[in-house]
Amino acid sequence: MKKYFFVLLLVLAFGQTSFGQVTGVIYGESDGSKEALVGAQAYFLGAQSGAVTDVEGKFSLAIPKQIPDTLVFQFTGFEADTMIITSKESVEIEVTLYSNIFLKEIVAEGRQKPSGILRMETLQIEQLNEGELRKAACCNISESFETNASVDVNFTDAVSGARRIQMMGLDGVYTQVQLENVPVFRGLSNTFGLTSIPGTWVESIQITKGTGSVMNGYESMAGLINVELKKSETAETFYFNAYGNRFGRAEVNFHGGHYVGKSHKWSTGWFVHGSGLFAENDNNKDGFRDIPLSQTASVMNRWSYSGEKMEMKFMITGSYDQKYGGQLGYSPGSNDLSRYGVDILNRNLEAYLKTGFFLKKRRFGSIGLIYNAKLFEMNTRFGNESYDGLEKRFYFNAIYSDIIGNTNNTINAGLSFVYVDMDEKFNQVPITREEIVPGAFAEYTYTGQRITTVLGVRGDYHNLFGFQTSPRVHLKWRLSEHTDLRVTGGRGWRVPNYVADNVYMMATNRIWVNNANLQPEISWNMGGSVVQGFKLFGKTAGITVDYYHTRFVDQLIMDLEDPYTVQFYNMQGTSYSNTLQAEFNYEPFNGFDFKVIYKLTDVKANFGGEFQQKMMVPVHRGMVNFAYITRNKKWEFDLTGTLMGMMRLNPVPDAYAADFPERSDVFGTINAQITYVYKKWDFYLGGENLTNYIQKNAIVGADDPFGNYFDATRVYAPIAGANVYIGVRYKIKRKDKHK
Amino acid sequence: MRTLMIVFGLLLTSLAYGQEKKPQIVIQTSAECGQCKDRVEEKLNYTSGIIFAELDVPTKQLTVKYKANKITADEIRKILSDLGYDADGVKADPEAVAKLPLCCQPGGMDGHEH
Repeated sequence: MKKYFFVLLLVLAFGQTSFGQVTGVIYGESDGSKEALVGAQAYFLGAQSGAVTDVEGKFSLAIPKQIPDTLVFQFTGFEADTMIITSKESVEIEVTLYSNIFLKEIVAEGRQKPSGILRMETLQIEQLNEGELRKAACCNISESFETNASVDVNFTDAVSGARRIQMMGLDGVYTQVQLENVPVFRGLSNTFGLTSIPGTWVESIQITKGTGSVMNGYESMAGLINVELKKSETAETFYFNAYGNRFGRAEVNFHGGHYVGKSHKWSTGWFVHGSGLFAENDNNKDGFRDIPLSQTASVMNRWSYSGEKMEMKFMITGSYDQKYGGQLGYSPGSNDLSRYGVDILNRNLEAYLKTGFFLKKRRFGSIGLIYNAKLFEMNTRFGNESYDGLEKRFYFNAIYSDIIGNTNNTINAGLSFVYVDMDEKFNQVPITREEIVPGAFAEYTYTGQRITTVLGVRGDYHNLFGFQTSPRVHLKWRLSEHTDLRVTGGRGWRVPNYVADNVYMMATNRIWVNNANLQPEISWNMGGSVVQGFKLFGKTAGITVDYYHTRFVDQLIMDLEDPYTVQFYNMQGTSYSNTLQAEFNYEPFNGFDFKVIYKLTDVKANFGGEFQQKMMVPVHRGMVNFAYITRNKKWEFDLTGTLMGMMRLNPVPDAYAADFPERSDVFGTINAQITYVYKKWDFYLGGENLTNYIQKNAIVGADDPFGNYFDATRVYAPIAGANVYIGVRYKIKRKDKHK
Repeated sequence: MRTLMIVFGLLLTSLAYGQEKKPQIVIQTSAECGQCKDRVEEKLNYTSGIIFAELDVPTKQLTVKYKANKITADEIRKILSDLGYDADGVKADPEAVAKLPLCCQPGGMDGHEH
């Protein structure tokens, strides 16, 4: 019937006048594949004339008398698009509609490359997909950045096993880390939050350099990392993973998702993780456990409803993480006061609810509401020092999205509300703080043929510090089919917690001296990138170069220049970070990917009265990665090498100066993994730090851990030596993904 | 270090065994979606004698490299037919076609029309 209608329209169109025609093909892209859409509509908004695509996705439509007119393309399940026709001349066009995913949850899964810059986005967003996460099979999110150069992951100290991320040479607290667009890894969960989510739950990770979108909050100062977990609609029916390594770590993960009922509107998923480290290791022979003994469990249950006018997602997750580090033979609760011990207990409970509504009267209008409640408790003891913290947090975000006139102009505007109650006790001294931050934001996006611009601004009213604005601009200029230029600039701010942000500094017996006024940290970030694709000997190659400058207006400085104290004070003079990163990637033959990356980090501020490079941040570093997948997809090989330049280290008292030099050695590490895929099974064998590099003298005063000079925070390289691990995955894929 | 050498050793051997007769052919199939790609590739890649099978969805063309002394091109086409897909001149087995996932049914990608 539709075809007759189409023919009829055509006849009418031809019969009318000598006006030109719009002819073209409409494609749809979903799950990474692009196919012609049959039965998609193309119609003029003003003239009310339209056509439907044929079996090859083709359509043809007369240009109406009244121009300009807006031509709308739409198809069920896909994001509609528009185009303005201003000329009577006949044109031929090609339109690609993208799968309609509400709440902007899934950013194009199943791309060809396991990682890379998302070329469609205005912001520079690097995406790590499941394929990339598989490359380093261990263990939780903080370790999944090992094959990525934009985010650095460092051990914080030699006793707690905690890892911290860094972007642009700046501590992880300046990067907003969010779970499915909700900023949750903040406050108390800065240090250990990422550890609670196992890598196998992750669907993809997006890394944005510079200030992110204003829709998600004000705290992205150096960057924004968003973690998308597997969805109940798309997760494997059943997935099992077991892992073991030479240090005595064992890990088990399983999850599964399925539809509830026949309508396929409801779905649910279960995710379970358990792991532990059960053996003592002391490969650097300093009498301390290189990695603490640990027991971790995490569970998550999620629900999703997808109707015609409304969508809903609900998620509840809880985790328990207990670590025992310190001297060999230390056992907790035994009143053994002769040995130095580290006890860390983290407990987390959180719930998310997201609802989205399509508006009846406005075709492109929708409202999204996000609610999140979180309870995080941390109890730690490092030798004689103790810290207990309880964070209660409630977050609400409402976003209204619509177009202005046509889909080239879109607007997102909304309101947010954050409530945080922090109750801390540092060496028995209570620190309490209640924060209430209502905010409003608006973001306008113009999408042109070559230029895309995002202009955003948000204003937040903090109950303790008053009003703060965060304007942000993002611009993408498509210079050619293979060249993208991006420019970004914006302001971000956060309120520091001098103890919670630096809990790991308890691994030194230096005296904490806090001379800072509590006030927000504020920074401006600006930068840009060029992505150039080209052919080299007929094969795909690419170069990405980016540069970012972050300048602090206000910052809480932690100063370690004096070997006996940890000093906190407000920034004096200037404080900035410059980073330059250059990447070359090449696929010399099918299935083989090669990339080499160089990164320059220049982070300076006044430390100890002298304007100098920040400690623990190397000026130069490099990375190479080789990845090969056989064409029958049975074998996967991956090898990553990193080279770390010299960095400044914490000064030590003169008595130790001979063994603890002021600067680190230049060192390299190699990680490799082999995966064999047999139908539903994957078997993997891997190694980390294969050159067995061990930092000499990691702990100052290891022979006197309760003395004044003890300092375990001078760690810049592996202390545990080479690791070898094996593991297995078993998965039953979903078959009901398409109707 | 040893693990490193094993990695490279495996890489080299997997690249270098190309001595006996291993023809590479292109078969025109009727597989037209991502699920079909998974089905076809998984079936053939785990069939003895086949070195690799890759389906290009837009052109529906399947590239197969195989060991001539273990399997023949006609046997490969027969496997495709048994799976429910046309393979060059060989028509798909109608019973298998009926069992295909919806998107792989002939004209299945037109199923979006309401």
